[in-house]
Amino acid sequence: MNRTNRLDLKFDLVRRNFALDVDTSFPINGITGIFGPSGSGKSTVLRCIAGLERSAKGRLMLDGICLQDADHFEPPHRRGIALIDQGIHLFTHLNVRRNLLYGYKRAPIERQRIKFDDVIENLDLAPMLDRDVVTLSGGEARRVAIGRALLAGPNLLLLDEPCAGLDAQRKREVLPFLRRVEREFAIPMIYVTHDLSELVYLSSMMATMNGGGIEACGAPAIVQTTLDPDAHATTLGAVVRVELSAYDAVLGAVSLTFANDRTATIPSTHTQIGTSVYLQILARDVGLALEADGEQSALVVLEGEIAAISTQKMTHVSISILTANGYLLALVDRLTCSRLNLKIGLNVHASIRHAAMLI
Amino acid sequence: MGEFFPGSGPLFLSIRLAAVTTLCLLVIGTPIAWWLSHTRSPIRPAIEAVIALPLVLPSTVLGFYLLILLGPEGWIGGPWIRLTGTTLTFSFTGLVIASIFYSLPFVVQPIQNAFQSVGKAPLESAYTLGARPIDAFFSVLIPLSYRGFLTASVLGFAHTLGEFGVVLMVGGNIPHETRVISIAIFDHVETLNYALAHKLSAVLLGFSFIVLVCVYALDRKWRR
Repeated sequence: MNRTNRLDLKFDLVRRNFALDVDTSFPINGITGIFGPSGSGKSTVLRCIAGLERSAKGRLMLDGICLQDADHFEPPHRRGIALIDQGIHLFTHLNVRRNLLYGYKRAPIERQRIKFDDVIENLDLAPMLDRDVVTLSGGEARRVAIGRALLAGPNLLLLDEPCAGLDAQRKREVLPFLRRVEREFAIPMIYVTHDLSELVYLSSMMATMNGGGIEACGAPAIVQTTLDPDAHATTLGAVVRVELSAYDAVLGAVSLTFANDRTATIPSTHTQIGTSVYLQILARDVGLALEADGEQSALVVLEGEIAAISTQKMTHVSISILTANGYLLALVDRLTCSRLNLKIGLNVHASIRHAAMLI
Repeated sequence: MGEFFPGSGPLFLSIRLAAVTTLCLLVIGTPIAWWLSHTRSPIRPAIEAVIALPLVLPSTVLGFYLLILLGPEGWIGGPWIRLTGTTLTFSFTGLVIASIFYSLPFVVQPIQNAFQSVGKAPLESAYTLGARPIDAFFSVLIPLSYRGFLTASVLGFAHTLGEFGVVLMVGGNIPHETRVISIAIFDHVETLNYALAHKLSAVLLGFSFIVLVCVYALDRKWRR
Protein backbone atom coordinates (compact mmCIF):
# COMPACT_ATOMS: atom_id res chain seq x y z
CA MET A 1 0.00 0.00 0.00
CA ASN A 2 1.50 3.28 -1.07
CA ARG A 3 0.63 5.61 1.76
CA THR A 4 2.19 8.85 2.81
CA ASN A 5 0.11 8.83 6.00
CA ARG A 6 -0.29 12.54 5.93
CA LEU A 7 -3.29 14.78 6.15
CA ASP A 8 -3.11 18.24 4.60
CA LEU A 9 -6.04 20.43 5.30
CA LYS A 10 -7.08 24.01 4.84
CA PHE A 11 -10.63 25.07 5.51
CA ASP A 12 -12.47 28.36 5.65
CA LEU A 13 -16.03 28.44 6.82
CA VAL A 14 -17.99 31.42 8.04
CA ARG A 15 -21.13 31.00 10.08
CA ARG A 16 -23.26 33.61 11.75
CA ASN A 17 -21.26 33.82 14.97
CA PHE A 18 -18.37 31.55 14.22
CA ALA A 19 -15.54 31.42 11.73
CA LEU A 20 -13.39 28.40 11.09
CA ASP A 21 -9.94 28.98 9.67
CA VAL A 22 -7.51 26.09 9.76
CA ASP A 23 -4.49 25.41 7.62
CA THR A 24 -2.29 22.59 8.76
CA SER A 25 -0.62 19.39 7.79
CA PHE A 26 0.28 16.52 10.05
CA PRO A 27 1.23 12.86 9.97
CA ILE A 28 -1.65 10.55 10.81
CA ASN A 29 -0.23 7.56 12.54
CA GLY A 30 -2.13 6.10 15.43
CA ILE A 31 -4.51 8.41 17.22
CA THR A 32 -4.29 12.16 16.72
CA GLY A 33 -6.13 14.06 19.42
CA ILE A 34 -7.78 17.44 18.96
CA PHE A 35 -8.46 19.20 22.22
CA GLY A 36 -10.37 22.40 22.77
CA PRO A 37 -13.30 23.98 24.61
CA SER A 38 -16.87 23.73 23.30
CA GLY A 39 -17.45 25.98 20.33
CA SER A 40 -13.80 26.03 19.32
CA GLY A 41 -14.55 24.41 15.98
CA LYS A 42 -13.33 20.87 16.67
CA SER A 43 -16.48 19.14 15.43
CA THR A 44 -16.71 21.44 12.43
CA VAL A 45 -13.19 20.50 11.34
CA LEU A 46 -14.13 16.82 11.48
CA ARG A 47 -17.29 17.49 9.47
CA CYS A 48 -15.24 19.36 6.88
CA ILE A 49 -12.79 16.45 6.62
CA ALA A 50 -15.66 13.98 6.24
CA GLY A 51 -17.16 16.13 3.47
CA LEU A 52 -20.34 16.98 5.35
CA GLU A 53 -19.83 20.76 5.11
CA ARG A 54 -20.44 21.60 1.48
CA SER A 55 -20.00 25.31 2.06
CA ALA A 56 -16.49 24.95 3.50
CA LYS A 57 -13.92 26.33 1.10
CA GLY A 58 -10.51 24.77 1.17
CA ARG A 59 -8.32 21.85 0.36
CA LEU A 60 -7.98 18.35 1.73
CA MET A 61 -5.33 15.79 0.88
CA LEU A 62 -5.24 12.36 2.48
CA ASP A 63 -2.26 10.11 1.76
CA GLY A 64 -1.39 12.33 -1.19
CA ILE A 65 -4.83 12.00 -2.76
CA CYS A 66 -6.81 15.18 -3.25
CA LEU A 67 -10.30 14.91 -1.79
CA GLN A 68 -11.22 18.57 -2.03
CA ASP A 69 -9.84 21.71 -3.59
CA ALA A 70 -11.10 24.74 -5.48
CA ASP A 71 -12.55 22.74 -8.38
CA HIS A 72 -13.16 19.36 -6.83
CA PHE A 73 -15.37 18.13 -4.00
CA GLU A 74 -15.27 14.40 -3.35
CA PRO A 75 -18.69 13.52 -1.84
CA PRO A 76 -18.62 11.95 1.64
CA HIS A 77 -19.54 8.45 0.47
CA ARG A 78 -16.47 8.32 -1.77
CA ARG A 79 -13.90 9.75 0.67
CA GLY A 80 -13.25 6.57 2.60
CA ILE A 81 -13.41 8.58 5.80
CA ALA A 82 -15.77 7.32 8.50
CA LEU A 83 -17.14 9.64 11.18
CA ILE A 84 -18.50 8.63 14.57
CA ASP A 85 -20.16 11.63 16.13
CA GLN A 86 -21.38 12.27 19.63
CA GLY A 87 -24.93 11.22 18.85
CA ILE A 88 -23.58 7.79 17.76
CA HIS A 89 -26.59 7.37 15.43
CA LEU A 90 -26.84 3.63 15.12
CA PHE A 91 -29.62 2.72 12.70
CA THR A 92 -32.53 1.86 14.98
CA HIS A 93 -34.38 -0.09 12.28
CA LEU A 94 -31.52 -2.61 12.02
CA ASN A 95 -30.18 -4.98 14.66
CA VAL A 96 -26.54 -4.90 15.80
CA ARG A 97 -25.31 -7.31 13.13
CA ARG A 98 -26.98 -5.43 10.29
CA ASN A 99 -25.70 -2.13 11.64
CA LEU A 100 -22.17 -3.57 11.63
CA LEU A 101 -22.55 -4.79 8.06
CA TYR A 102 -24.08 -1.58 6.68
CA GLY A 103 -20.79 -0.05 5.60
CA TYR A 104 -19.07 -3.37 4.92
CA LYS A 105 -21.62 -4.33 2.26
CA ARG A 106 -21.15 -1.00 0.55
CA ALA A 107 -17.36 -0.88 0.66
CA PRO A 108 -15.43 -1.51 -2.55
CA ILE A 109 -13.68 -4.90 -2.51
CA GLU A 110 -10.23 -3.41 -1.94
CA ARG A 111 -11.45 -1.73 1.22
CA GLN A 112 -13.11 -4.84 2.67
CA ARG A 113 -9.78 -5.65 4.30
CA ILE A 114 -11.04 -5.82 7.87
CA LYS A 115 -12.64 -9.12 8.77
CA PHE A 116 -16.02 -9.20 10.47
CA ASP A 117 -14.87 -11.82 12.97
CA ASP A 118 -11.79 -9.79 13.93
CA VAL A 119 -13.90 -6.76 14.68
CA ILE A 120 -16.36 -8.81 16.73
CA GLU A 121 -13.49 -10.29 18.71
CA ASN A 122 -11.55 -7.09 19.31
CA LEU A 123 -14.59 -5.08 20.34
CA ASP A 124 -16.17 -7.96 22.25
CA LEU A 125 -19.41 -7.70 20.27
CA ALA A 126 -20.30 -11.39 19.98
CA PRO A 127 -22.88 -11.44 22.80
CA MET A 128 -24.93 -8.60 21.32
CA LEU A 129 -25.02 -9.40 17.60
CA ASP A 130 -28.72 -10.20 17.42
CA ARG A 131 -29.89 -7.51 19.80
CA ASP A 132 -31.98 -4.52 18.95
CA VAL A 133 -29.74 -1.44 19.08
CA VAL A 134 -32.12 0.47 21.34
CA THR A 135 -31.42 -2.07 24.11
CA LEU A 136 -27.67 -1.39 24.15
CA SER A 137 -25.98 0.48 27.00
CA GLY A 138 -24.04 3.66 26.22
CA GLY A 139 -20.70 1.86 26.18
CA GLU A 140 -22.01 -1.00 24.04
CA ALA A 141 -23.61 1.35 21.52
CA ARG A 142 -20.28 3.15 21.10
CA ARG A 143 -18.44 -0.09 20.51
CA VAL A 144 -20.99 -1.07 17.87
CA ALA A 145 -20.53 2.34 16.23
CA ILE A 146 -16.76 1.84 16.22
CA GLY A 147 -17.16 -1.63 14.74
CA ARG A 148 -19.57 -0.39 12.09
CA ALA A 149 -17.13 2.34 11.07
CA LEU A 150 -14.15 -0.06 10.99
CA LEU A 151 -15.99 -2.55 8.81
CA ALA A 152 -16.54 0.15 6.19
CA GLY A 153 -12.74 -0.12 5.76
CA PRO A 154 -11.99 3.59 6.06
CA ASN A 155 -8.57 5.10 5.35
CA LEU A 156 -9.19 7.48 8.23
CA LEU A 157 -11.55 7.25 11.19
CA LEU A 158 -12.88 10.42 12.78
CA LEU A 159 -14.27 10.34 16.31
CA ASP A 160 -16.18 13.33 17.63
CA GLU A 161 -16.50 13.09 21.42
CA PRO A 162 -17.42 9.42 21.27
CA CYS A 163 -17.40 9.26 25.07
CA ALA A 164 -19.63 12.29 25.61
CA GLY A 165 -22.27 11.54 28.20
CA LEU A 166 -20.54 8.45 29.57
CA ASP A 167 -19.44 8.24 33.20
CA ALA A 168 -15.90 7.17 34.12
CA GLN A 169 -16.96 3.53 34.48
CA ARG A 170 -18.57 3.41 31.01
CA LYS A 171 -15.61 5.18 29.44
CA ARG A 172 -13.49 2.27 30.57
CA GLU A 173 -15.76 0.10 28.40
CA VAL A 174 -14.79 2.15 25.36
CA LEU A 175 -11.33 3.74 25.55
CA PRO A 176 -9.23 0.55 25.97
CA PHE A 177 -11.04 -0.86 22.92
CA LEU A 178 -10.01 2.15 20.89
CA ARG A 179 -6.35 1.58 21.75
CA ARG A 180 -6.72 -2.05 20.83
CA VAL A 181 -8.40 -1.19 17.54
CA GLU A 182 -5.62 1.25 16.72
CA ARG A 183 -3.01 -1.44 17.35
CA GLU A 184 -4.83 -4.28 15.59
CA PHE A 185 -6.17 -2.61 12.49
CA ALA A 186 -3.66 0.19 11.91
CA ILE A 187 -6.35 2.67 10.87
CA PRO A 188 -5.33 6.25 11.62
CA MET A 189 -7.81 8.10 13.78
CA ILE A 190 -8.54 11.68 14.70
CA TYR A 191 -10.15 11.96 18.09
CA VAL A 192 -11.87 15.15 19.19
CA THR A 193 -12.75 15.85 22.80
CA HIS A 194 -12.89 18.49 25.49
CA ASP A 195 -11.73 15.90 28.04
CA LEU A 196 -7.95 16.11 28.20
CA SER A 197 -7.52 12.86 30.13
CA GLU A 198 -8.99 10.88 27.20
CA LEU A 199 -6.37 12.36 24.90
CA VAL A 200 -3.50 11.81 27.30
CA TYR A 201 -4.58 8.19 27.40
CA LEU A 202 -5.08 7.72 23.67
CA SER A 203 -3.18 10.06 21.47
CA SER A 204 0.27 9.89 19.97
CA MET A 205 -0.13 13.35 18.42
CA MET A 206 -2.16 16.23 19.68
CA ALA A 207 -3.52 19.55 18.47
CA THR A 208 -5.35 22.22 20.41
CA MET A 209 -8.07 24.41 18.96
CA ASN A 210 -9.56 27.68 20.08
CA GLY A 211 -11.78 30.24 18.40
CA GLY A 212 -12.00 28.33 15.12
CA GLY A 213 -8.26 27.91 14.62
CA ILE A 214 -5.51 25.46 15.55
CA GLU A 215 -3.24 26.82 18.28
CA ALA A 216 -0.62 24.14 18.79
CA CYS A 217 0.17 20.80 17.22
CA GLY A 218 2.78 18.18 18.08
CA ALA A 219 3.76 15.63 20.72
CA PRO A 220 1.10 15.57 23.45
CA ALA A 221 3.57 16.35 26.26
CA ILE A 222 4.84 19.39 24.39
CA VAL A 223 1.43 20.66 23.31
CA GLN A 224 0.10 20.36 26.85
CA THR A 225 2.62 22.94 28.06
CA THR A 226 0.70 25.50 26.00
CA LEU A 227 -2.43 24.89 28.10
CA ASP A 228 -3.31 26.72 31.29
CA PRO A 229 -1.54 24.59 33.96
CA ASP A 230 -3.90 25.61 36.76
CA ALA A 231 -7.11 24.92 34.85
CA HIS A 232 -5.93 21.47 33.76
CA ALA A 233 -3.97 20.57 36.91
CA THR A 234 -5.83 17.30 37.47
CA THR A 235 -5.69 16.01 33.90
CA LEU A 236 -2.33 17.01 32.41
CA GLY A 237 -0.18 13.94 31.93
CA ALA A 238 1.79 11.69 29.67
CA VAL A 239 2.01 8.06 28.65
CA VAL A 240 5.38 6.30 28.78
CA ARG A 241 6.36 2.98 27.33
CA VAL A 242 7.79 0.38 29.73
CA GLU A 243 8.65 -3.33 29.72
CA LEU A 244 6.50 -5.72 31.68
CA SER A 245 9.16 -7.87 33.34
CA ALA A 246 7.34 -9.98 35.92
CA TYR A 247 3.89 -10.79 37.23
CA ASP A 248 3.21 -11.78 40.82
CA ALA A 249 -0.11 -13.58 40.96
CA VAL A 250 -0.09 -13.70 44.78
CA LEU A 251 0.28 -9.95 45.21
CA GLY A 252 -1.65 -9.11 42.03
CA ALA A 253 1.17 -6.86 40.93
CA VAL A 254 3.51 -6.47 37.97
CA SER A 255 7.13 -5.37 37.76
CA LEU A 256 7.90 -2.74 35.20
CA THR A 257 11.34 -2.11 33.77
CA PHE A 258 12.07 1.43 32.73
CA ALA A 259 15.04 2.52 30.66
CA ASN A 260 18.36 2.25 32.50
CA ASP A 261 17.04 -0.88 34.26
CA ARG A 262 15.05 0.95 36.86
CA THR A 263 12.15 -1.12 38.05
CA ALA A 264 8.89 -0.43 39.80
CA THR A 265 6.07 -2.63 41.04
CA ILE A 266 2.46 -1.60 40.65
CA PRO A 267 -0.83 -3.44 41.13
CA SER A 268 -2.18 -4.80 37.87
CA THR A 269 -3.62 -7.90 36.30
CA HIS A 270 -1.58 -7.74 33.10
CA THR A 271 0.12 -11.10 32.66
CA GLN A 272 1.87 -10.79 29.32
CA ILE A 273 5.45 -10.79 30.53
CA GLY A 274 8.05 -9.49 28.11
CA THR A 275 5.74 -7.17 26.22
CA SER A 276 5.94 -3.43 26.32
CA VAL A 277 3.03 -1.60 27.81
CA TYR A 278 2.03 2.01 28.34
CA LEU A 279 1.84 3.68 31.68
CA GLN A 280 -0.27 6.77 32.14
CA ILE A 281 1.32 9.24 34.54
CA LEU A 282 -0.39 12.42 35.67
CA ALA A 283 1.74 15.55 35.69
CA ARG A 284 0.86 16.29 39.32
CA ASP A 285 2.36 12.92 40.30
CA VAL A 286 5.77 13.86 38.93
CA GLY A 287 8.28 15.78 41.05
CA LEU A 288 11.45 17.41 39.75
CA ALA A 289 14.90 17.70 41.31
CA LEU A 290 18.31 18.67 40.00
CA GLU A 291 20.21 15.95 41.87
CA ALA A 292 19.36 12.30 42.38
CA ASP A 293 18.43 12.50 46.06
CA GLY A 294 16.72 9.12 46.10
CA GLU A 295 13.29 10.37 47.02
CA GLN A 296 11.76 7.73 49.34
CA SER A 297 8.17 8.03 48.26
CA ALA A 298 8.96 7.84 44.55
CA LEU A 299 7.92 4.84 42.49
CA VAL A 300 10.80 5.44 40.16
CA VAL A 301 13.16 8.26 39.25
CA LEU A 302 13.95 8.99 35.60
CA GLU A 303 16.52 11.42 34.23
CA GLY A 304 15.71 13.62 31.31
CA GLU A 305 16.08 16.93 29.61
CA ILE A 306 13.50 19.67 29.82
CA ALA A 307 11.91 20.07 26.39
CA ALA A 308 9.23 22.67 27.03
CA ILE A 309 7.94 24.85 29.86
CA SER A 310 4.57 26.55 30.05
CA THR A 311 4.84 30.32 29.89
CA GLN A 312 1.52 31.40 31.37
CA LYS A 313 1.74 33.32 34.65
CA MET A 314 -0.16 30.82 36.77
CA THR A 315 0.57 29.37 40.18
CA HIS A 316 1.77 26.18 38.54
CA VAL A 317 4.06 25.48 35.64
CA SER A 318 3.82 22.44 33.39
CA ILE A 319 7.13 21.06 32.21
CA SER A 320 7.74 18.51 29.50
CA ILE A 321 10.80 16.27 30.03
CA LEU A 322 12.27 14.00 27.40
CA THR A 323 13.43 10.79 29.11
CA ALA A 324 14.75 7.54 27.72
CA ASN A 325 11.17 6.26 28.07
CA GLY A 326 9.65 9.09 26.12
CA TYR A 327 8.11 12.37 27.23
CA LEU A 328 6.97 12.91 30.80
CA LEU A 329 4.93 15.86 31.94
CA ALA A 330 5.46 17.40 35.37
CA LEU A 331 3.41 19.99 37.21
CA VAL A 332 5.39 22.06 39.73
CA ASP A 333 4.61 25.35 41.44
CA ARG A 334 6.29 28.47 40.15
CA LEU A 335 8.19 28.96 43.37
CA THR A 336 9.98 25.64 42.91
CA CYS A 337 10.45 26.37 39.25
CA SER A 338 12.27 29.60 39.88
CA ARG A 339 14.23 28.25 42.90
CA LEU A 340 15.59 25.40 40.79
CA ASN A 341 15.98 27.79 37.88
CA LEU A 342 14.34 25.28 35.54
CA LYS A 343 14.76 26.09 31.87
CA ILE A 344 14.65 24.33 28.53
CA GLY A 345 17.68 22.08 27.96
CA LEU A 346 18.37 21.53 31.66
CA ASN A 347 18.85 17.93 32.88
CA VAL A 348 16.56 16.97 35.73
CA HIS A 349 15.53 13.96 37.79
CA ALA A 350 11.82 13.27 37.57
CA SER A 351 10.37 11.22 40.40
CA ILE A 352 7.12 9.45 39.65
CA ARG A 353 5.02 9.06 42.78
CA HIS A 354 2.02 7.14 41.46
CA ALA A 355 1.13 5.43 38.24
CA ALA A 356 -2.37 6.13 37.20
CA MET A 357 -3.10 3.39 34.77
CA LEU A 358 -1.44 0.56 32.96
CA ILE A 359 -2.64 0.32 29.42
CA MET B 1 -67.53 -4.67 -11.49
CA GLY B 2 -70.18 -6.91 -9.98
CA GLU B 3 -72.38 -5.43 -7.33
CA PHE B 4 -71.57 -6.41 -3.75
CA PHE B 5 -75.12 -5.42 -2.93
CA PRO B 6 -77.56 -3.32 -4.99
CA GLY B 7 -76.20 0.21 -5.10
CA SER B 8 -72.69 -0.70 -3.85
CA GLY B 9 -70.94 0.44 -7.05
CA PRO B 10 -70.11 3.91 -5.67
CA LEU B 11 -68.47 2.32 -2.61
CA PHE B 12 -65.97 0.40 -4.74
CA LEU B 13 -65.41 3.41 -6.96
CA SER B 14 -64.54 5.46 -3.89
CA ILE B 15 -62.15 2.82 -2.58
CA ARG B 16 -60.49 2.54 -6.00
CA LEU B 17 -60.19 6.31 -6.23
CA ALA B 18 -58.74 6.57 -2.73
CA ALA B 19 -56.25 3.75 -3.34
CA VAL B 20 -55.00 5.10 -6.67
CA THR B 21 -54.80 8.64 -5.28
CA THR B 22 -52.87 7.50 -2.19
CA LEU B 23 -50.34 5.59 -4.28
CA CYS B 24 -49.84 8.58 -6.59
CA LEU B 25 -49.54 10.89 -3.58
CA LEU B 26 -46.85 8.76 -1.92
CA VAL B 27 -44.81 8.91 -5.12
CA ILE B 28 -45.36 12.65 -5.62
CA GLY B 29 -45.41 13.66 -1.95
CA THR B 30 -42.18 11.98 -0.83
CA PRO B 31 -39.81 14.11 -2.93
CA ILE B 32 -41.80 17.25 -2.06
CA ALA B 33 -41.61 16.38 1.64
CA TRP B 34 -37.87 15.70 1.30
CA TRP B 35 -37.28 19.03 -0.40
CA LEU B 36 -39.37 20.91 2.17
CA SER B 37 -37.68 19.18 5.10
CA HIS B 38 -34.19 20.34 4.28
CA THR B 39 -34.32 23.29 1.89
CA ARG B 40 -33.30 26.77 2.91
CA SER B 41 -34.82 28.26 -0.23
CA PRO B 42 -36.69 31.56 0.27
CA ILE B 43 -39.68 30.22 -1.72
CA ARG B 44 -40.24 27.41 0.78
CA PRO B 45 -43.00 29.23 2.76
CA ALA B 46 -44.88 29.94 -0.48
CA ILE B 47 -44.71 26.28 -1.54
CA GLU B 48 -45.79 25.15 1.92
CA ALA B 49 -48.73 27.57 1.79
CA VAL B 50 -49.84 26.29 -1.63
CA ILE B 51 -49.75 22.71 -0.38
CA ALA B 52 -51.69 23.63 2.75
CA LEU B 53 -54.40 25.58 0.87
CA PRO B 54 -56.84 22.61 0.66
CA LEU B 55 -56.83 22.58 4.47
CA VAL B 56 -58.44 26.02 4.65
CA LEU B 57 -60.33 26.50 1.38
CA PRO B 58 -63.93 25.32 1.06
CA SER B 59 -63.88 22.33 -1.24
CA THR B 60 -66.22 24.13 -3.65
CA VAL B 61 -63.63 26.89 -4.15
CA LEU B 62 -60.90 24.36 -4.72
CA GLY B 63 -63.23 22.37 -6.96
CA PHE B 64 -64.11 25.46 -8.96
CA TYR B 65 -60.47 26.26 -9.73
CA LEU B 66 -59.73 22.62 -10.48
CA LEU B 67 -62.69 22.58 -12.87
CA ILE B 68 -61.16 25.49 -14.73
CA LEU B 69 -57.68 23.97 -14.62
CA LEU B 70 -58.82 20.53 -15.80
CA GLY B 71 -61.38 21.83 -18.27
CA PRO B 72 -60.82 21.64 -22.05
CA GLU B 73 -59.39 25.19 -22.01
CA GLY B 74 -57.40 24.73 -18.80
CA TRP B 75 -53.64 24.47 -18.31
CA ILE B 76 -53.88 20.76 -17.56
CA GLY B 77 -57.10 19.83 -19.37
CA GLY B 78 -56.13 21.52 -22.66
CA PRO B 79 -52.84 19.67 -23.24
CA TRP B 80 -54.53 16.48 -22.00
CA ILE B 81 -57.18 16.67 -24.73
CA ARG B 82 -54.57 17.27 -27.42
CA LEU B 83 -52.56 14.32 -26.07
CA THR B 84 -55.32 11.77 -25.46
CA GLY B 85 -58.42 13.10 -27.14
CA THR B 86 -60.46 12.77 -23.96
CA THR B 87 -61.51 15.31 -21.37
CA LEU B 88 -60.29 15.26 -17.81
CA THR B 89 -63.41 16.75 -16.27
CA PHE B 90 -66.18 14.28 -15.56
CA SER B 91 -63.76 11.33 -15.81
CA PHE B 92 -62.09 9.01 -13.30
CA THR B 93 -58.60 10.23 -14.28
CA GLY B 94 -59.74 13.80 -13.69
CA LEU B 95 -60.99 12.81 -10.25
CA VAL B 96 -57.62 11.25 -9.43
CA ILE B 97 -55.80 14.44 -10.43
CA ALA B 98 -58.23 16.60 -8.48
CA SER B 99 -57.93 14.33 -5.44
CA ILE B 100 -54.15 14.54 -5.59
CA PHE B 101 -54.36 18.32 -5.17
CA TYR B 102 -57.09 18.01 -2.57
CA SER B 103 -55.32 15.46 -0.35
CA LEU B 104 -51.72 16.63 -0.90
CA PRO B 105 -51.25 18.30 2.53
CA PHE B 106 -52.49 15.18 4.32
CA VAL B 107 -49.69 13.17 2.77
CA VAL B 108 -46.86 15.71 2.51
CA GLN B 109 -47.07 17.04 6.05
CA PRO B 110 -46.74 13.74 7.98
CA ILE B 111 -43.84 12.65 5.75
CA GLN B 112 -42.17 16.04 6.07
CA ASN B 113 -42.52 15.90 9.87
CA ALA B 114 -41.10 12.39 9.95
CA PHE B 115 -38.10 13.41 7.82
CA GLN B 116 -37.49 16.40 10.07
CA SER B 117 -37.66 14.38 13.26
CA VAL B 118 -35.25 11.75 11.90
CA GLY B 119 -32.93 14.61 11.03
CA LYS B 120 -29.80 14.69 8.93
CA ALA B 121 -27.53 12.82 11.32
CA PRO B 122 -28.47 9.20 10.43
CA LEU B 123 -28.12 10.07 6.74
CA GLU B 124 -24.73 11.63 7.31
CA SER B 125 -23.63 8.51 9.18
CA ALA B 126 -24.75 6.46 6.21
CA TYR B 127 -22.82 8.70 3.77
CA THR B 128 -19.58 8.39 5.74
CA LEU B 129 -20.11 4.61 5.77
CA GLY B 130 -20.06 4.71 1.99
CA ALA B 131 -23.76 4.89 1.09
CA ARG B 132 -24.65 7.01 -1.93
CA PRO B 133 -27.31 9.63 -1.17
CA ILE B 134 -30.10 7.75 -2.97
CA ASP B 135 -29.07 4.50 -1.25
CA ALA B 136 -29.05 6.21 2.17
CA PHE B 137 -32.47 7.69 1.43
CA PHE B 138 -34.03 4.26 0.83
CA SER B 139 -31.99 2.20 3.29
CA VAL B 140 -31.99 4.62 6.23
CA LEU B 141 -34.36 7.59 5.93
CA ILE B 142 -37.46 5.80 4.64
CA PRO B 143 -37.32 2.92 7.15
CA LEU B 144 -36.72 5.37 10.01
CA SER B 145 -39.67 7.48 8.83
CA TYR B 146 -42.13 4.60 8.40
CA ARG B 147 -44.59 6.00 10.90
CA GLY B 148 -44.86 9.19 8.89
CA PHE B 149 -45.59 7.13 5.78
CA LEU B 150 -48.20 5.13 7.63
CA THR B 151 -49.95 8.26 8.89
CA ALA B 152 -49.68 9.84 5.44
CA SER B 153 -51.25 6.81 3.74
CA VAL B 154 -54.12 6.60 6.22
CA LEU B 155 -54.87 10.31 6.10
CA GLY B 156 -54.53 10.50 2.33
CA PHE B 157 -56.79 7.50 1.84
CA ALA B 158 -59.39 8.58 4.39
CA HIS B 159 -59.51 12.14 3.16
CA THR B 160 -59.97 11.07 -0.46
CA LEU B 161 -62.67 8.62 0.57
CA GLY B 162 -64.62 11.40 2.25
CA GLU B 163 -64.28 13.87 -0.62
CA PHE B 164 -67.50 15.54 -1.74
CA GLY B 165 -67.33 19.11 -2.91
CA VAL B 166 -64.41 18.72 -5.27
CA VAL B 167 -65.93 15.61 -6.90
CA LEU B 168 -69.20 17.40 -7.35
CA MET B 169 -67.46 20.30 -9.08
CA VAL B 170 -65.06 18.44 -11.40
CA GLY B 171 -66.61 14.98 -11.64
CA GLY B 172 -70.31 15.38 -11.51
CA ASN B 173 -72.36 12.29 -10.93
CA ILE B 174 -71.62 9.73 -13.65
CA PRO B 175 -72.27 6.12 -12.56
CA HIS B 176 -69.15 3.88 -12.60
CA GLU B 177 -66.99 6.84 -13.56
CA THR B 178 -67.32 9.63 -11.04
CA ARG B 179 -70.29 8.69 -8.85
CA VAL B 180 -68.40 8.12 -5.63
CA ILE B 181 -70.00 7.09 -2.36
CA SER B 182 -70.38 10.55 -0.84
CA ILE B 183 -72.27 11.74 -3.91
CA ALA B 184 -74.40 8.60 -4.00
CA ILE B 185 -75.37 9.01 -0.35
CA PHE B 186 -76.25 12.64 -0.96
CA ASP B 187 -78.41 11.59 -3.93
CA HIS B 188 -80.21 8.91 -1.96
CA VAL B 189 -81.01 11.40 0.79
CA GLU B 190 -82.22 13.93 -1.77
CA THR B 191 -84.58 11.34 -3.27
CA LEU B 192 -85.63 10.23 0.24
CA ASN B 193 -84.16 6.74 -0.28
CA TYR B 194 -83.07 6.57 3.36
CA ALA B 195 -82.70 2.78 3.33
CA LEU B 196 -79.91 2.79 0.75
CA ALA B 197 -78.34 5.91 2.30
CA HIS B 198 -78.23 4.04 5.62
CA LYS B 199 -76.70 0.99 4.04
CA LEU B 200 -73.92 2.87 2.23
CA SER B 201 -73.17 5.07 5.23
CA ALA B 202 -72.98 2.10 7.57
CA VAL B 203 -70.69 0.19 5.22
CA LEU B 204 -68.40 3.20 4.87
CA LEU B 205 -68.38 3.75 8.62
CA GLY B 206 -67.58 0.10 9.31
CA PHE B 207 -64.95 -0.07 6.60
CA SER B 208 -63.19 3.08 7.82
CA PHE B 209 -63.23 1.84 11.38
CA ILE B 210 -61.77 -1.56 10.47
CA VAL B 211 -59.02 0.00 8.32
CA LEU B 212 -58.02 2.33 11.14
CA VAL B 213 -58.01 -0.49 13.71
CA CYS B 214 -55.79 -2.59 11.43
CA VAL B 215 -53.39 0.31 10.89
CA TYR B 216 -53.04 1.11 14.59
CA ALA B 217 -52.68 -2.57 15.48
CA LEU B 218 -49.98 -3.02 12.84
CA ASP B 219 -48.19 0.10 14.02
CA ARG B 220 -48.13 -1.19 17.58
CA LYS B 221 -46.76 -4.52 16.41
CA TRP B 222 -43.98 -2.90 14.36
CA ARG B 223 -43.06 -0.56 17.19
CA ARG B 224 -42.97 -3.43 19.65
